Amino acid sequence: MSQTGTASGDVATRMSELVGKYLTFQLGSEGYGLQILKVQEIIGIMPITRVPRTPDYLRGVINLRGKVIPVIELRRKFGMPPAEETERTCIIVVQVETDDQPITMGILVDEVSEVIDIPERSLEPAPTFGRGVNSSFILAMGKLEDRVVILLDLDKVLTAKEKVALETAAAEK
Amino acid sequence: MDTLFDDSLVQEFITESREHLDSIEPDLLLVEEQGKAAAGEVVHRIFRAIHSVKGGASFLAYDALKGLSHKMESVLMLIRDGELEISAPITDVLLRSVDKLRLMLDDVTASDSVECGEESALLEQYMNGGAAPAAEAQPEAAPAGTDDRLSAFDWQSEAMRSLLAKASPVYLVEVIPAEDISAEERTAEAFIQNTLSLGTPFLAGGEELAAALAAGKPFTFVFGTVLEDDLAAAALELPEERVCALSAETLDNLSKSSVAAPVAPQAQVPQPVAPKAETAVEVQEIAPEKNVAAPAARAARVENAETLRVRLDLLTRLMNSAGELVLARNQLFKAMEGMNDQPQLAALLQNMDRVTAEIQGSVMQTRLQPVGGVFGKFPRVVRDIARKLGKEIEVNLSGTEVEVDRSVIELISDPLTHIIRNCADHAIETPDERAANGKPRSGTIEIAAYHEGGQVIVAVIDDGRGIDPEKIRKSAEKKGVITPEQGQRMSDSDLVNLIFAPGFSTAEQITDVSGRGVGMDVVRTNIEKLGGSVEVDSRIGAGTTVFLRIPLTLAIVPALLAGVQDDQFAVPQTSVEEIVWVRAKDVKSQIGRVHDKDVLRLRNTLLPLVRLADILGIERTFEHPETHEPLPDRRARLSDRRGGTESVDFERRDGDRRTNWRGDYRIIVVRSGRTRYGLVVDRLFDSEDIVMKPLSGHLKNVRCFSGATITGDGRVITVLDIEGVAAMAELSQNADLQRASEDYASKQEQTTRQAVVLFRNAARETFAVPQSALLRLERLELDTVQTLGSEEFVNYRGRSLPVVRLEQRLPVGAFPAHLQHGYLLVPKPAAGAAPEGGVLVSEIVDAIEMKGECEPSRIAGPGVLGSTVYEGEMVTLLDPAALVSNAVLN
Repeated sequence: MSQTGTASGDVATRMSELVGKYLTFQLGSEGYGLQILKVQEIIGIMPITRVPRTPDYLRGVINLRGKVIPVIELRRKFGMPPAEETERTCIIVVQVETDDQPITMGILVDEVSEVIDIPERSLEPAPTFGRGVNSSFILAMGKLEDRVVILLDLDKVLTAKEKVALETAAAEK
Repeated sequence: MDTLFDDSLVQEFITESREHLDSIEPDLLLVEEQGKAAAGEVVHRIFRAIHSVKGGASFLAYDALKGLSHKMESVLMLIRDGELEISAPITDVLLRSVDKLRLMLDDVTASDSVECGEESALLEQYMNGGAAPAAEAQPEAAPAGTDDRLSAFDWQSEAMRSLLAKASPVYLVEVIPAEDISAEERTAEAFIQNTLSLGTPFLAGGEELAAALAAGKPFTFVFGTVLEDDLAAAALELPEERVCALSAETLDNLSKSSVAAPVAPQAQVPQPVAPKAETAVEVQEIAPEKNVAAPAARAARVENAETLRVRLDLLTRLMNSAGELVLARNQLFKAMEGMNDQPQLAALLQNMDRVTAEIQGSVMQTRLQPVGGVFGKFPRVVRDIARKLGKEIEVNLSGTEVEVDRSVIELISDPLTHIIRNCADHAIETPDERAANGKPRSGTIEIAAYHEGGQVIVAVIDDGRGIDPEKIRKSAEKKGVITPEQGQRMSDSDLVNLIFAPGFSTAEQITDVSGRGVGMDVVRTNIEKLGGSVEVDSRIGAGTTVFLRIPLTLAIVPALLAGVQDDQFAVPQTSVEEIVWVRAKDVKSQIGRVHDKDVLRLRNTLLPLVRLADILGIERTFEHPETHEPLPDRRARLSDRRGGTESVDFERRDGDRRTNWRGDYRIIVVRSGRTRYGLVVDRLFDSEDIVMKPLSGHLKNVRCFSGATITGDGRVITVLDIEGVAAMAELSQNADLQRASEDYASKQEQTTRQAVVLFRNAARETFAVPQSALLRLERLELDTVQTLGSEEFVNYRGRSLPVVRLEQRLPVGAFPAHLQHGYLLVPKPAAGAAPEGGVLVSEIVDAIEMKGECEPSRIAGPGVLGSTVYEGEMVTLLDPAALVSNAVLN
């Protein structure tokens, strides 16, 4: 029991660090949140150029005011069926930490909801789904009045392993 | 120590010093070349530059820098003051010292560890007048009091005055020839020479040194020099007590203040001498330099101050922002389309458009630098080589104001240096050899830059011995660069260009000067890397010209846009050699398979083919000929025909051939370094200037792309990496293919296929001429043909060219009378000659490859090579050159 005690203590400090503003968005019926500090801007959907020889969740590249940035399709990343693009489809431009340098990329989401303040009491650690399920990219769950949003750790959405896979994808195909 | 100072201060010192050193080099060469004529102003400029370096170095306490520059300064002062005549060895030392200073500046904190002892010693030697060993002190009877000896001199004479005005300090020197010259086993000449090189002697009564020495009696002279007390005697190799310095006051009194006496030894601007006619005896011609140009030079410096150093990354950022501005403007224009009811807005938009274009232009310009920056160092490079090899070489620079992007400048510097070294080392002959060949003794290397077709051409033109294509061929064959068969077939110009072939430069031609481990192939690779090309043109005995074709900027690359399915890709135009369109009916004959790889029969070679769709993992489709529906293309081999389509005539279809994808292949023949292959694509679009953008993050590791670009309408297009694609297709390791290609080439050689142009004159009579024998093929309007007697002429590039009608030379049908135009075949003239004439024919049928074997022809006449059968028609093969040369003879 004492073991769980320390563990929950750690979780508590971790949770308190996560208090702050989140940008929430929808993928299908699910709500997700991103730490607002990671978000650079939100842009409407624009033509995305496919880059062959890359994993399918890498939707392609876009022209962000003269800069070419990759766009990740979160639906595919999370194993969800792709959705039709609508007026509400958005690209959230974020800054992601990698080993060597931060990179700017876009993530394609169904729609952006709002920016919310999540107090400590509403935060809950990510549930464990048991063996074989990787939930490391979930920072925490945010309990709101009527729903639960999954707060994403973007740096881990593309894990180191996946980045390597992405880099070698071309060579292996 | 360097922590004492602000880093930026040190940085500024380094940058400024480098600039000074850069300015010194050409100036030194100028002084050497023009001698005294240029000396005054230019030496002063050099002096000032080195003085600034010294000043900075001593302020920042870089001792070695200060020491060396100080010595240079001293020597320069001697030259400026006319006490030391500039000569090649002195320029040498000064130039080498400049190099050392540069080396020190490269790592300024470690500058003290740079070895410059040799330069220092040499400089000191010049400072001391070239004499090193100190004379043995000889205790001798002290010379009599100086005062009465001084009165022997005419202090009012012009020569003495000018000596006093310039020199400081001034000594009274006593020479006892018996002891100083004869006893020391010195010759009088050596003594005179030494003395003259150190300063200006002035003898009583204006006597010559030589005469005084010859008399053998002890004598005294006034000696003006820059040497300090302790050095003067040693330098003159006289006992110290015989050389005594005259103080400023003494001199003042002597000259009775009519001459402004020199004050400080470091005085930089000599006082002008009051002109007063006197009986003047010139001891030595003194360069008249009054430094009148100094104010002008100073003005030039002030002008320089109007430039501002800006950080490069800032400029890059500025350029990116300007690019974004242009895109934003374009989008704004798009958004505003159809809003014509707002005239006010339109005017605003127009204004913004203009300003945007202006900003973009100016920002691009900020990164441009004149190529003169690179050129500037070549006179020095050439001079050093010339001196080393005992050659006389003149360097002419032109077009130094032509501007290219900074990054390009950096990249062309090394290859260009290599070419110029080669030029000075190999191309230019020794003066004797040149004279023997009736050329001026001095060779010329001209380095010129000019704009041509949106690119910059840098030409290095020498009037040396030229390159012998025959020698190149032998050497290339020996080294296995080409096969003997290839060698026979190659034109002179192709042979000469083999010097750029990999593996051609070998140890054999490496000399101390130009063999620095890089061959001309490295030159080519480097130039091609930046999107340029190299070409050489040479005439034996007359000289060689190397052309470098370089882009204005690296940021903007011309590219060919190609499509596979719905995706578009850009191929850098510099990698594109040619585009081959294989028609469906020719697929079987032109595309084959070697060891499981598709190959294209392109003239005499087998070109490996790479299907872009496969490399990119895009599913191949083809459009159904009738329904225009895209269907998956499951053929494993390009050479396979699609079932059931044999009867469909693919040729000359209507509609947009770019989007039609039925049975033809569009093959871009690309080359990058040593890899050459055909890239099979679905569609071809225009060529466009693209701005390269890096692919960010993890995407940059996808090998087949080198970057991305944004088109005018804002779309992103990826740029193919030609080498990356080849690597992914595993082309490079395919030795089998290589061998097969060689086999094929040699087999082709045996059956001697040749490219010919098929044409007709009278209907139904078909002739052929080898493509290689033609210079040009032009459409000719008959009303432009002028007649003179029975001869016909056309205006061809500013001169009149005789026109030969085929029927005039051969017993064949006549040119159809009803035709208003025909074609003019201009045969390749002998090397160096102008075309002798052209052959008028009525119709060009095709350009094909056919077997070279011929039977004897049914007709006889000049230029008839034989006859053969092509697709059931009898074809008479002609040599066009023989047709026209005969005409002229008649």
